[in-house]
Amino acid sequence: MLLPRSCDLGSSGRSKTASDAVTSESSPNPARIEIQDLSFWYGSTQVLRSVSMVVPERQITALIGPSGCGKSTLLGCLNRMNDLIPGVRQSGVCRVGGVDVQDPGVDVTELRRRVGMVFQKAIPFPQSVFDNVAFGLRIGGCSGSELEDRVASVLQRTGLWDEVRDGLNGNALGLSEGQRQRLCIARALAVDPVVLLLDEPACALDPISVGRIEELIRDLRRDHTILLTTHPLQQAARLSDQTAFLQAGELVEMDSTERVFSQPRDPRTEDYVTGRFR
Amino acid sequence: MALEAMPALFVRLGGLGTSTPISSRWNLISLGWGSVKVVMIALTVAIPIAIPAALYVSQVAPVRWRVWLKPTLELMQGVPTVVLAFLALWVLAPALQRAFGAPFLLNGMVAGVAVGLAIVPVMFSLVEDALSAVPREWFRSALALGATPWEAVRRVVWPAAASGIGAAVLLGMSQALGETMIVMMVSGNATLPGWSLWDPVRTVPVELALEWVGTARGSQRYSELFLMGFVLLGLSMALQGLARMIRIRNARQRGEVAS
Amino acid sequence: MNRGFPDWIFRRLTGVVAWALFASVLSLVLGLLLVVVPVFLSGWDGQEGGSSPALDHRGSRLSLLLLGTATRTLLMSLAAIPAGILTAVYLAEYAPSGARATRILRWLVHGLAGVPSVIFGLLGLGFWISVVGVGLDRMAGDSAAPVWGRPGLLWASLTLAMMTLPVLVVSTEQALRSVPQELRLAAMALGATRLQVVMRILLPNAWVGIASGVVLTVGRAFGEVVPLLFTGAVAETQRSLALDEPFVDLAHQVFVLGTRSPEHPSSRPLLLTCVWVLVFLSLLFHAAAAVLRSRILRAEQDRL
Repeated sequence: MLLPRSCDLGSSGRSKTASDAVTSESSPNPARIEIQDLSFWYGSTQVLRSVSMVVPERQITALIGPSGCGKSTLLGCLNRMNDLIPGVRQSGVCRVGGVDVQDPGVDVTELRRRVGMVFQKAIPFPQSVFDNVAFGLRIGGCSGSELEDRVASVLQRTGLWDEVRDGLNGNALGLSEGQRQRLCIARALAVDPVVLLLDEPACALDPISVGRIEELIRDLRRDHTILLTTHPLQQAARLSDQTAFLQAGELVEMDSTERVFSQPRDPRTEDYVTGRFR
Repeated sequence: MALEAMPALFVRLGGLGTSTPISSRWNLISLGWGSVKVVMIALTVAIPIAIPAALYVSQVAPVRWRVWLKPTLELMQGVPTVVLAFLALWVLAPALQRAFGAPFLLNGMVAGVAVGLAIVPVMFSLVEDALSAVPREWFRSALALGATPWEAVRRVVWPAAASGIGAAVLLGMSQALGETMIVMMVSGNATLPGWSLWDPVRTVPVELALEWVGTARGSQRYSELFLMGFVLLGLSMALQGLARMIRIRNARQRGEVAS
Repeated sequence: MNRGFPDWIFRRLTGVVAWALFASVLSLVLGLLLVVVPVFLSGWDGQEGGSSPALDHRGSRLSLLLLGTATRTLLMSLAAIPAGILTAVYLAEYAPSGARATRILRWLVHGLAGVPSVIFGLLGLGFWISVVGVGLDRMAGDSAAPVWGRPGLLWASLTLAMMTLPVLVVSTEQALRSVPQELRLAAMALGATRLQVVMRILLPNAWVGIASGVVLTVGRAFGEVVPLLFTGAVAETQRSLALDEPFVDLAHQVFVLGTRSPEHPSSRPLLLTCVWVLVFLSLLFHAAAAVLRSRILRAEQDRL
């Protein structure tokens, strides 16, 4: 791995947590996501219908589908952000690294450190650039030169370093849209998650910023399992190794990106990727 | 009003108070001191109730409880202060005297506590607004980074809302400063400049409300009263203005976020 | 370090405070409405039977008090509401936005909205009675007995109107501003004049918000006592209700009886009745405003 570990964060810190009783060191793929029969309801509206999929580790998997098909909900199940929404119900199992995330023994904050998330409208905290990136590290008790080193190295990885080096203490809200989004990715990366969930990370950005972010995501594949949702289909085609097509809460098709876009098995997928809507 | 206060103003500024009797100056000082005592007690009572309650309602409570909690707590604002004053006089004052054995039934402590309780609803409502105005995304992002709700509130939500909360406290303070009915009914109304919080006190607005009767128009006492009213007006407008300035500046910062 | 513990404390502590506050507010309000109710009911029962002259007396006292309060609240509303709405429409729509004068006016209105009521009492005394009232008397020429140059119902109402005016302006302007800018622009794009925009777009869309502000403000003025101390409320009067006469007032009566009651146990039933009626009517105002506000919330959700 790239980063020094003495702050005792992320995966190295996990060996002491309750969730580890279930994980066990024998689990070969700490970054593998398995979803079985996942259904999800907002009140009486069902938004996910028995979704089952395996997200391979260290690859980029794109979720595509029309608005309201349940893409974001699916992401929210994986780090239990959906816990925050009132009146929801869930059935089925999500496993990250072999651990059932719904297990009552799971420490939710620990889970969320392992399964990082970047929101569609990820506005940085109204603090300095440095403080934004340092947020997760400080919570984990990291401080001093150790903290500075890690913030710097994360900013370097996200390509922000050269742009913000002189303004580390400036307010992060002063950054451009694209920089903000990369800052939010850096903020999530700082605690070194094994999985990164990106909810439309490049929506409403100018093409140059989109290009930068896509480049960054491609780089991250080496160390992280990435699951992202996206609206522009070309982005999924450019970026992802795997593509899953959801419609009305149902997983219609999941395969390598090439196959989904060139020879989909399901006619609904074909309609969608070729732009024929009913 | 400024015109009515002019004579007293000039007397004070011009002759350094030499033309006013000592007792009158002393009177002004102890009135100011009484106001300070009552406002301080009121804030000490109101802040530790209003802020945690607002934190709970805006950050911790599930939505289905929030929709009941907030309107109910704001219901208190609908109760006229004269009724609160009546309750303070008939219920709170005897209870406090029994509990602490104060020498006087009506004293500064009773007034301060009663005013404090009376400003809780307003302060709660304003603090809750300030906290709710912080974009929920920040809270969610903090949780997504593995923060507990407490860490998210302490490190992200609270700093972002701090100035709004400050404005709310200023507004509560302004209201405590101008509260007349409650203080008039339960403070004992004696102008004693002592240190003890359990002494009867009299505050500036109460002095205004009690003393205007029997004060001849044009007399020095009359313009003195108007001077005090003028000072009180200036103080509360200043507090309001400060609070509004803070809020406008905040809104502008929020605007940057939204853009 | 256990990170869960401070979080647990935080949630418990704030929760305990909030629910304790909730419980005390609820019990206070219900207590005021329910505990006092037997006294109140017994009063009316007695009156219907017409058995006790004391209770009859209380009934007539109460109706006098209510009459005084209703009249001064009504007069105040007549003076304050149209002026408040007009000022707010001017500020929101006509005043050159960004101009220094507009900004100063707005700061002034907002500042006055939070000024303690005692100041307005003093202002009413210093302006309406000492200047306007005395001036009227002087014009009438009969200087022997002041008619207008003394506290009375009209001055009390106008003083209350001065007090509520800034609050009304603030709440009305807020309601007008919450009408989506797009609606306004769309109307103008269709060639509507400013007046048409105000009459057909702004007021129809904002009236619920305006009304809830008005009800809330009038409700607060209804329970206000302090300015009346300066401008015309008295403990008892033999005269009938007239614009230039001091009057008896419900909220004021609570103050009067509340402060002297230990020595006059006989006035206690009247005091409790006054408290009950005052709380009941104030909460009615508050509830009406809350209902209106919930309609706004629903309308906003529909719009989204």
